[in-house]
Amino acid sequence: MKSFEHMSPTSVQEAVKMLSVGNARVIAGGTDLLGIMKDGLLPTDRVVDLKAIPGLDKIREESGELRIGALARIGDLASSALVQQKAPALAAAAFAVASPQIRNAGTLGGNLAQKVRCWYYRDADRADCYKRNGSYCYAIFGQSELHALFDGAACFAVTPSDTAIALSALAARIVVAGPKGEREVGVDDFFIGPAVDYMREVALAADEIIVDVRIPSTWSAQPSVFLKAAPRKAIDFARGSVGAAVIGSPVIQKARISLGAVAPTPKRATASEAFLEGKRLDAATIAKAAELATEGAKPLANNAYKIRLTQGLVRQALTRLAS
Amino acid sequence: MNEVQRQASIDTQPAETDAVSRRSLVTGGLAAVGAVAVGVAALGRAANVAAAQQPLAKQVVSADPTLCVGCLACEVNCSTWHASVGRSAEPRIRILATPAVALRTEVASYLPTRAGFSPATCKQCPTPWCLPNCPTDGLRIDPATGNRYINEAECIACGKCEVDCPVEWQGTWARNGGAKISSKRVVYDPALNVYAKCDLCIGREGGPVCVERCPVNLAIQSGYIKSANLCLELVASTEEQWKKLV
Ligand SMILES: Cc1cc2nc3c(=O)[nH]c(=O)nc-3n(C[C@H](O)[C@H](O)[C@H](O)COP(=O)(O)OP(=O)(O)OC[C@H]3O[C@@H](n4cnc5c(N)ncnc54)[C@H](O)[C@@H]3O)c2cc1C
Ligand code: SF4
Ligand code: SF4
Ligand code: SF4
Ligand code: SF4
Repeated sequence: MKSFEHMSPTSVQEAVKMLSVGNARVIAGGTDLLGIMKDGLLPTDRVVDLKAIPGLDKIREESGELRIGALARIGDLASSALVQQKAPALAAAAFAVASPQIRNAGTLGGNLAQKVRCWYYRDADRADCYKRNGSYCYAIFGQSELHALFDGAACFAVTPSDTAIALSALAARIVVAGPKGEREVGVDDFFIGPAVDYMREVALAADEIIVDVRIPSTWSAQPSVFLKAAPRKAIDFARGSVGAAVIGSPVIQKARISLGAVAPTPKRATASEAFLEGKRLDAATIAKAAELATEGAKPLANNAYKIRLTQGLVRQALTRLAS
Repeated sequence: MNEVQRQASIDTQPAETDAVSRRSLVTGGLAAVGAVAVGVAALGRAANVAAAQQPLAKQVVSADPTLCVGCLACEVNCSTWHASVGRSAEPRIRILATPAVALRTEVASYLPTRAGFSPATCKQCPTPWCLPNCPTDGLRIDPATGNRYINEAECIACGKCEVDCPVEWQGTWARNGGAKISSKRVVYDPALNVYAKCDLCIGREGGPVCVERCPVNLAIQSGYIKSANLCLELVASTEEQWKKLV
């Protein structure tokens, strides 16, 4: 690995200042970044370690909202009684992440900001794919099992984060700190697709850090679920996933459904959401909502299986919410 | 010169010297074609006559929809490169959703479900209708290549070029859920408050970035897909060719 400078700020402001030089990167648990650096995927001259900043790992209820610090560990989210009660989908998503070791080291902020898992991107020998500032996408005429059904544009890699899908269903907001102070951004705007910028997955400037994640009271404590399909349960990234939350029973007033592993960002199933409003979750309604979820999918050569897989997950998720 | 400097030199180049713009048409061009004196109101139409005498663009981007898989690499790269040299990031090429278009078997055998896309961009018209009514030196013709382009530094966003361009996008855009930000091949960029159109990547060393990076082109060039022509191709701009452009 190329040598780099390691810094340990003790406040958010200090961390932001340290990020203002070129090729400086935040490190939290290091479960993603260290691999990236070892393979030389992102040039890194300085790592700014957030772990010494006190108070960034709190899981608490504040102003009626469930609030989670960016340094909260994935494992702590999974086992937190508060998260299980206020945001069942998020607890389930955290539990579905990787292995116990990774959940113990990995943080929520790092899970949201991790880089894609496209196998071409992660192959150190393919230095010329778009995500590595190159000029080609290997997935288009290559092996596209893992790739996007929706919203591909030059790059077809999918969002790898499980927690993002649950947070999208829960209408979370992300609090970001930068040189000018803090700003809040809705989770659906936080993730950006390759049509906007294929080099970045999230709307973070180089000198910004995620400090907090907030789930509004409207959606916390509502029934919510997260389901994931992966070849080897618990240690693989999703081939499909769904986060779903509803307000109103037995007649649904509002539903939020977010799909994972099918688009470069969490993909809201807006057609299904609109269809569900004012309806009861009976079998026919669930079947129709599941079908609508993948409307407009444009598979590549090897990923059409994700259509039925995703429909199945949506059907299962809504069936659980019905009972 | 690096790319940014090269671009800066293009954007600061005065039009009076040799690039054709509306101002040079009014001062010299009209006399040259022997137009009678015209009032201000008729200037546009008269200038149009002059524009018709302008040399053809040497080249234009031509697309073959039967090879396009709608990956949007052309749109994204057009946008990224122009933004990198300080010009508008609005893609100047757009993929239209045209469900009736079938893919050629050579491509369909790899990507059967990705048919129905038609790339389209500015046609570098023999008569550049967009040019004569530009009140500044924004719309220009490059003397060396005939390239009809907008010097965005001079564009005051009056929108006359968009009104005058007769070439509409046929159908909806594949991106943005079909919503179009402009009906014509000159598009408005609200972020920079300028109009943008295909400028054949003027100033870019490797030529048009969309042609260079279309993955179907790369697959054809590497022999992976057999085809006599490319998906996006720079071809000679002629009256005949103009009629064939999408
Ligand atoms: C074998 C394996 C299997 C995995 N399986 C899954 C899975 O099934 N589901 C899943 O969701 N994830 C999975 N992951 C990813 C894992 O969850 C992430 O690596 C982890 O959550 C990242 O957290 P971290 O704190 O270690 O981040 P780091 O590795 O420290 O950082 C990751 C990225 O986020 C940035 N970053 C970190 N914190 C912040 C912050 N506060 N603000 C701004 N940027 C920040 C870093 O700069 C870096 O780019 C897997 C990883 C491995 C290695
Ligand atoms: S999908 Fe994205 S990351 Fe993967 S090869 Fe294509 S451009 Fe690279
Ligand atoms: S902008 Fe319109 S009128 Fe002008 S050259 Fe292009 S297609 Fe023709
Ligand atoms: S030639 Fe350049 S400006 Fe024109 S559409 Fe292609 S990339 Fe865009
Ligand atoms: S890059 Fe080529 S294949 Fe992709 S959308 Fe553009 S023209 Fe079509």
